[in-house]
Amino acid sequence: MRLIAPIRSFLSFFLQNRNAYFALFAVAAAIKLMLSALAPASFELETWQFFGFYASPWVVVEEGLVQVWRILTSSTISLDVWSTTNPWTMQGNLRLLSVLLRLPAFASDVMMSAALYLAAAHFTGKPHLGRLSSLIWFLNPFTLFAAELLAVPDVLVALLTLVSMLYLVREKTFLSSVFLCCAIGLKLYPIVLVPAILIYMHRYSGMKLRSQLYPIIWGFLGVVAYLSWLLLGSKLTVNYFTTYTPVSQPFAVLGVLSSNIPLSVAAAALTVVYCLAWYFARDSSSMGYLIHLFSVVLLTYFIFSDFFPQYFIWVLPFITLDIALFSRRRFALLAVLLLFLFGTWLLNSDSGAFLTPSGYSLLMIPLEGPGVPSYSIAIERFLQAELTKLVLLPLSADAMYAFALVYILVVVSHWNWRRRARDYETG
Amino acid sequence: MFSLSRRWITIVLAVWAIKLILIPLPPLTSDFLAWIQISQHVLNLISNGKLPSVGAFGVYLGLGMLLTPCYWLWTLLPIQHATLAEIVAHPSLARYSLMYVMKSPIVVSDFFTGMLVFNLVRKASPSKANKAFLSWHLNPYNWYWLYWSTTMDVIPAVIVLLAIQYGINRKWSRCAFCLSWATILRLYPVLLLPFFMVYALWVEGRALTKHVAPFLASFATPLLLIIVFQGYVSGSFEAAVNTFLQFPVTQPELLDFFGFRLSSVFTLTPFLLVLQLYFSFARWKRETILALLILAPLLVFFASGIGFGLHLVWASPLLSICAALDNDWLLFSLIFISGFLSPITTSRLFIQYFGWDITYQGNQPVIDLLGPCMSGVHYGTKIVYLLKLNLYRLRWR
Repeated sequence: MRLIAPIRSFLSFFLQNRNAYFALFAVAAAIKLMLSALAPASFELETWQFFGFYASPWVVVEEGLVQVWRILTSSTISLDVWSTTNPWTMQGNLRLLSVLLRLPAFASDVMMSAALYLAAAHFTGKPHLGRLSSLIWFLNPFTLFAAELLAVPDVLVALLTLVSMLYLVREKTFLSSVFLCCAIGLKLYPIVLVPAILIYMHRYSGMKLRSQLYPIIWGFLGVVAYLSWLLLGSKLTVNYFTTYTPVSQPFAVLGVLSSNIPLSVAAAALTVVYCLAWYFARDSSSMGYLIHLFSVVLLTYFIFSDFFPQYFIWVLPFITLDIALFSRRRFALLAVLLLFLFGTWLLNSDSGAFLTPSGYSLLMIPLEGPGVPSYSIAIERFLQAELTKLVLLPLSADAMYAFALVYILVVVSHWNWRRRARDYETG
Repeated sequence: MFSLSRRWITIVLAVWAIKLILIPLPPLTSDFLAWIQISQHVLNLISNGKLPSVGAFGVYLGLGMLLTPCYWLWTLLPIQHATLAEIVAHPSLARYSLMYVMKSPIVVSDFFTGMLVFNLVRKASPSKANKAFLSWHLNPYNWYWLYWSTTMDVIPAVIVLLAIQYGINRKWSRCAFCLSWATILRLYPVLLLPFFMVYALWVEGRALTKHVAPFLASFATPLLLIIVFQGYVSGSFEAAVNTFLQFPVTQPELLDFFGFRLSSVFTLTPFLLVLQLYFSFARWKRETILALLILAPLLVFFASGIGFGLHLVWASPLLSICAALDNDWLLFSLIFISGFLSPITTSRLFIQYFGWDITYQGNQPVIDLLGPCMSGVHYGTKIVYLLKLNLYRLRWR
């Protein structure tokens, strides 16, 4: 408690003082931009590889930014040079490219902070809670890694789902559905939220049937948009769904009962969540209902999808609001969850220690290539050791999944099980 | 007894007429052909003065013997009898008459199942009995498995319903007797025995002691008769016992009853059954009706193992009862729709008939994505049904 008290008073200074909050925010933003320029290109940032092949809206934006960079610097350097160059000795124009390509993710990150601020402040009428939710998001090391350093488009998709939810709370179902459509069109995974939205509309808010049609129609249009750039605009076939990462598959095939009878554990788990929400979800407010329902749905999907740590960003905005508005105690749970998430990320042999195409870690540590220092060899040896692969990695991953599941159970346990059962009893 | 409106009676009669008309139209499914072959074989043995043995027919002997009289009746019909190969190859009067005769036990069981479902719900809540009755008879899933695929599982299912009826009337010997015969026909009702005993304990309390011996004796007698019969056929009691003990080797598919394996010794179904038994016994409300108590272990069985589509027929009448009593048709519809669309259970077999193979092969993206997804939804629904059944029956205090 002695340790927490000064941290709390330090934080409360920024929460209560508007100017101090903005100053802190500006400093954090500057640091993020600086790190964007310093850090080597991540594998996710290598989207230039897909130019002309993969017509994702995100890739198109990145392609446009490369053109802007070429105009600004008159550079004709191959992008291979940029993605494989030593981050310590990178030239200024390449650093500019690093910043430019990370700019959409950075902008989404800042807009997400603003959206969280406005959501919490508007909902409670207490600006300091808005600041709290904004800072929990913006100062979170996870968002720095996922948004700025890896530059995954999911931060924009997460922003769109949050905006969709906020419009839904205000009963502007048309606008909410349009934003959901945009999110689905970009990344498809938000389609798992459509049943949750319908459950909310039907069971909680009792909206009109016409309103309930919006998410269905716009969700369908989102799928059409997604398929159109995937199948028509790109040189991809429908095989993409089963051969590429499960992130593109809304229902990853994970459990296999036998060689020819597979079972999607994600679909099973989501069905359980939807049905339980249908029967038992209760909350004192629309905002609480939706935040908890979205958190549970997205976290469930994250748990049962293939492990890509950066996709925790799908659920983080809703958990942030949950902590800021409803239960501070869950902050400790989030912290432990993120600790094991980072641990698993670090130990994961596919991209161990945040490896990038340059052979450097996102933490600027040289991991591969000639003449690496002795500490790098030690890190590499540690990552490749049997103990790490067979013991530490599973332990860390299991702990992460366990805490994610605990989070779900903690939220779900606050649904009104007993009352619902008693309602049934009394007819 | 029935309080259905004239409109609904017309609908039910129309559905029954359609069912009867459609009997000869479905294809000769592999299940149906297997039952004909077993009946044919048993009839040949009996005609030659021999008795069929459990060793030769396995757990299918019970239903096979039940169907043999039907096959025998067909052989007595004044028509030109064809061989099974000819029946399969060419539509003929022999084929249609065989289908009518062999499916007659299903028709009878279907009819009585509807009656028992109605009666069981009427005892608990008279106003809901009609819906339960209709949900059994108008359920396309039941029609598909009973009349298209010709699964005989509705016969043990109706006997289990009869056992439930006797259980509610506290006729424990008859209840156990029915349960025992159902076990002989399809084996799964043996899982339900402890749950019947839990109910008997609730109802009888301390008076149960005087019912235990007749109950167990009634359950054991038909089973012992089968062992004695097998002993007579195979020449020694020891050989008969060995035949039964060899079932896991001779019929390894029975091991599916253990459900998903979590380790070499840890299997899910028995583990969850024990948990369910504890919950039902210790935590459920005592006024819970027997049909719902019996539904719980069946849902455990479905949710913890592969559970093929035909197995859902075991629980289908009980699900009708549960849905009517809870007035919850959403989950009821979801479990059957997803069950039908799931390649694990039904749709694969149905669609294969039209020449389209939807087996998971890893190279058919839409099927490889939607198939597992529907299977997942089906499993999820079964889990939710089990959870909901428990939650609504828990004593919260």
